[in-house]
Amino acid sequence: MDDRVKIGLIGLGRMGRIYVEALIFKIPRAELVAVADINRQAAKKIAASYSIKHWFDNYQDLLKVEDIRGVVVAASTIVHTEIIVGAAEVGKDIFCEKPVALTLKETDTALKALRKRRVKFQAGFMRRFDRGYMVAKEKIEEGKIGKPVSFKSISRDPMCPRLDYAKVSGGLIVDMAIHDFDLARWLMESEVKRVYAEGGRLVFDQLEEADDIDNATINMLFADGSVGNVEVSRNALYGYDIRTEVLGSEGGIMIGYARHTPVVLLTKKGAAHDFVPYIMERFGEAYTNELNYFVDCIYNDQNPSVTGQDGRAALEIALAATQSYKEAKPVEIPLANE
Amino acid sequence: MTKVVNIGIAGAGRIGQRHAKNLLTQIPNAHLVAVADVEKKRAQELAERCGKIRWYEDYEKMLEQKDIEAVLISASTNVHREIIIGAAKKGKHIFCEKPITLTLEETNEALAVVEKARVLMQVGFMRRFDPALASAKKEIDKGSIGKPLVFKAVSRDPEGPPFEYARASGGLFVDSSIHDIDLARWFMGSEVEKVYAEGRVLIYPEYKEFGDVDVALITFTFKNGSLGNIENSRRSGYGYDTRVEIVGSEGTLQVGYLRNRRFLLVNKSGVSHDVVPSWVERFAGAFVHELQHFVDCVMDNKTPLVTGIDGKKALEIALAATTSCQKGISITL
Repeated sequence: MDDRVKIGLIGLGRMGRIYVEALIFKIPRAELVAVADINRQAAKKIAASYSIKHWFDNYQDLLKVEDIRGVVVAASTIVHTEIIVGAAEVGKDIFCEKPVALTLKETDTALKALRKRRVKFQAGFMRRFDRGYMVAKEKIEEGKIGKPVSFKSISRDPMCPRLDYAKVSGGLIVDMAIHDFDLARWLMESEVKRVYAEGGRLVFDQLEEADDIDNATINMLFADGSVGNVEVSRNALYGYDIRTEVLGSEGGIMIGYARHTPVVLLTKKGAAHDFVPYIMERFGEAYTNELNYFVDCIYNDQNPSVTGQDGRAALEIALAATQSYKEAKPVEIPLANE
Repeated sequence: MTKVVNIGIAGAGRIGQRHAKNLLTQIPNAHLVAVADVEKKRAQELAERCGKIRWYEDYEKMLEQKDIEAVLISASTNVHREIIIGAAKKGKHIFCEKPITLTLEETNEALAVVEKARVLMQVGFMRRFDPALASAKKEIDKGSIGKPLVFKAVSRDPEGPPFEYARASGGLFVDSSIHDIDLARWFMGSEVEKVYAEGRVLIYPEYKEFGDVDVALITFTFKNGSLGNIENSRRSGYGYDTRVEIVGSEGTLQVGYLRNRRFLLVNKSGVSHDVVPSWVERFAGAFVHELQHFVDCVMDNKTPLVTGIDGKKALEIALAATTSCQKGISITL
């Protein structure tokens, strides 16, 4: 008997296509039975090339497919809330790319629908499924570095995002630093209670049209008194540079690496090696792992460990940091005005 | 009790000048009082630079100086034997650059005189005083890697020495591999039992004139059953590359690095950094520490960490490797 978990996927942009490949080739317990995208041609073409049973040009029809148990939401962030609410209404379990939504209000609407229908929900913080970060978390839990007291994280993209993406992404901090905020909460095991951010458009003038910035640095204070700092940038023209460091009372832990291939070239000019090019080279395996975990959670009927509440908490820090940058002053969490 | 040790240097070449500078500026309880070199001009110039100290064309004259307690021998290897014997007979303590001599007969002769005169003797295996290699030895002695099983070393010079130096050096094994050989004995805590070496002229065809090689591999078996392997090259084409690994039953120790200065250049072509240019940069500290150790040993009348016997054992292995390479057979010591 085929007991594979039937999955429908909504949104066939860059991330959606990555998830399609993972579901088809790398997650044996999943069966991708339907895809949907407002771009009709894309949906049709991908369904044909991977022999996926159903394809739709709207998500509503996909949600009507009865035997679908889990929905992977990789559409634009602006439509996340309505898809989550719609999927919850018909009792589908949900995996949603980060951020869950661009505002806390929308996020709360989505979370309320999830609670009401008691469906499972996993937020797409794939870094928690990266081998490096998983080992780090394990060491911290084993007490290898004592009590974590200071958090540092660097996330640098190798290029400026496309303008149409930048306009709907929520901005550098919500789009990118949100990963670091999730890591901060997870690895420090404490909530963030205050942030102060500085940022600017220092390299890519074209981002002005999207009212976005390309560099930011954010200081954080945690509820237990520990401290943290996140640096994000779009102009690491040398590669995809992701590093995190947690200092504890008894030691420290460093996660991240520069060299992509295990090759060092030695010449008279010195020693040279390459750099991790981009996100899939660094987190390709993590993306597969997180979806695999989601499918296992459905199969074993257990709740995912990266919850909607985690998505909300990281978003709140990101929104507070964005506000802090705009107002040029520290912002307390929880946010008062939402 | 003496407060400082008065030292004379025999041999004012490249390495002699380095030792002179270190004695003057880095070793507070050493007092450099004289230099000797067969090249009058070299002796005179170095003496001038070291604060107008005494200088001699003839090392024997220097050995007659009563205030000199210790002699640092950095002359050509072919005169080591006679200087060691001369110094020992005058009761001077001896620091001698490696190799002690080019043959075992000469070394035995020199060491016999040293033993009879009861003077201290240290051989210039400075690597033992490199902070990284010294720490590795401490870890091995503590048992941090269990029982040492395999010794591996790579030593590559940035480029070959001048032709005349290479010709008189005793060959790649005796001149260069000898450092790695000394480390092998020291780290493994066992003597070498069997040696097999392969070597070729792959870079400098002119080395064929005096029967030397410029690239070589040496394989060892130690008396306690452990194994070893050394790769040597006269020219890396990029810099000075020396690395050691000691594989133990409970772990492994890796010593060595490529990057000289602590910066990384990161741009679109990737990540790059410089490399260690030469042994001068890599072992600058080790040269100071070995001299400090020698001077301290003279002051406290203690046997140095690296003795004439160590110099002899390393030479014996290097000569066996040379023979093995020439004859294409393994040599049992």
